[in-house]
Amino acid sequence: MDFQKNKFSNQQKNGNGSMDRDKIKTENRLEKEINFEDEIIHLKNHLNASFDKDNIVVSEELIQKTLQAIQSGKAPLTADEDNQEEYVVTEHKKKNRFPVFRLAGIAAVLLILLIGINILKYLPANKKSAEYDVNSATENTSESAAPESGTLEKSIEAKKETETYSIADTGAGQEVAKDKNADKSDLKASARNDGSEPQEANMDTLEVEGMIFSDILPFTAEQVNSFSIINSKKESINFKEPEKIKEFLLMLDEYYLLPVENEEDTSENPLDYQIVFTTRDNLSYTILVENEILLKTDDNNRDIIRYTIIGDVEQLKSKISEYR
Amino acid sequence: MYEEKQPVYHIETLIRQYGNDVLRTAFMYVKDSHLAEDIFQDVFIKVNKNLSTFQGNSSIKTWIIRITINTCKDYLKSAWNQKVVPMTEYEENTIHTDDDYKAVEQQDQNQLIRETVMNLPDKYKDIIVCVYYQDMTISDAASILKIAEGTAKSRLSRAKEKLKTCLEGRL
Repeated sequence: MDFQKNKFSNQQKNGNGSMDRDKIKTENRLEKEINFEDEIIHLKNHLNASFDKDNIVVSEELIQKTLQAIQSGKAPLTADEDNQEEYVVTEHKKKNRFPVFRLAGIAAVLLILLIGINILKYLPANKKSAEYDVNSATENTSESAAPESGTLEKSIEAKKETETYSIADTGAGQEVAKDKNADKSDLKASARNDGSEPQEANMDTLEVEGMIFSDILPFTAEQVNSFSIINSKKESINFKEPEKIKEFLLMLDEYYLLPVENEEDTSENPLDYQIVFTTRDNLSYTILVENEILLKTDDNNRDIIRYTIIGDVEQLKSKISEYR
Repeated sequence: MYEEKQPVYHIETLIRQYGNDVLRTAFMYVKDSHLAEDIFQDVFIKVNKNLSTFQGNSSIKTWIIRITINTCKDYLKSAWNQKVVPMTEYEENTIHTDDDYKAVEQQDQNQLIRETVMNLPDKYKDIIVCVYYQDMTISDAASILKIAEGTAKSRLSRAKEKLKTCLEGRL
């Protein structure tokens, strides 16, 4: 305070020269400051005068009450039971409320995280899984039948074609089976009998997209003893070499098939080629190639399943005809 | 030797000597004369209980005022009081309105200063009460308020500025 007073007096001395407006203003401001300093120095006096006026003084009664309280050891604030109860209740509420809000907050954060993770997981994952299905299908095929690398590409192309080709384009003009599970379950059963599990896996992945011959044939190339191609003129050519068998099955795998629900008699349809596979178990499987593909077992009555070829049937026929 | 120099305090003497300081300091915090009397009793019960622990590091008055301020703050922190008197900040803000100024203009200067000090934010009120009302040194005030001496100085400076702003043109 003294320092500020000295400062003020110095400033006042300096200001005695020219009495322009700025100096007058400065002086007024300083005068106010000194007044304030004076007031604050006497703050205690101001406060005490105010307290005296409002009779905020320690009475003899208060002194006696305090002495009694000291003797009894009972503090008025802590002895106020109502206040205490309320305080305890409020504290209790606080304690209860604290974890509830915390838990709700944690739950909300977890919920948001879960939703976020699911969104991230499923949106791109669906696209990826579709791609994966095609890849896995072709990969499974390669495991079972070891196709050429060109076959894989063609398979993917064929898969794309399934999305754009209509049934009319195939020339079959027949309804595509909506419930393919019934037909496929038979194939699965036969596949199980032969112990060819990869085929079953392929069936699952290709349920929606279509199938290749490896999926519908209940045997693998290794299980085939021989096969014959019989044309419409009943001319037959027989193949026993494992390499030829494998090659032929790989060629067939370049074509996608869809099962056909309608089981009308096709005996009147012109039969182009008949391919008869004989397995090492001496079971005979016949593929009838016309506008559609028919798969028959040796008893000629059981497991007759019809498929329509997605793609160029004539190309398949020409490939069969050229096969030597 | 040291023990012999320690003065022996009698509680009634302390009450009579520092009673007004305690009561009025308490009033500045709790803003109610009845509550201030309760605080007063509480403070002297604590003083009596802890008198044997007083080591004489500060003056007995500083020690009692420290107990008073702490008791007031404890009381103000309590849930009960938060429910009943939540208006400290509000009052502080509203004293700047024109209506309040007009109302306060009716009161005398001392009342105005008291109201202004009482409505200061706690941290500024603490330092003003200690230094200007209880005549403590900055060091003692800093010790009581558990702040650094530098902080106490700057806080005192800001408190004065605040007081000046509030009282400007009204004194």
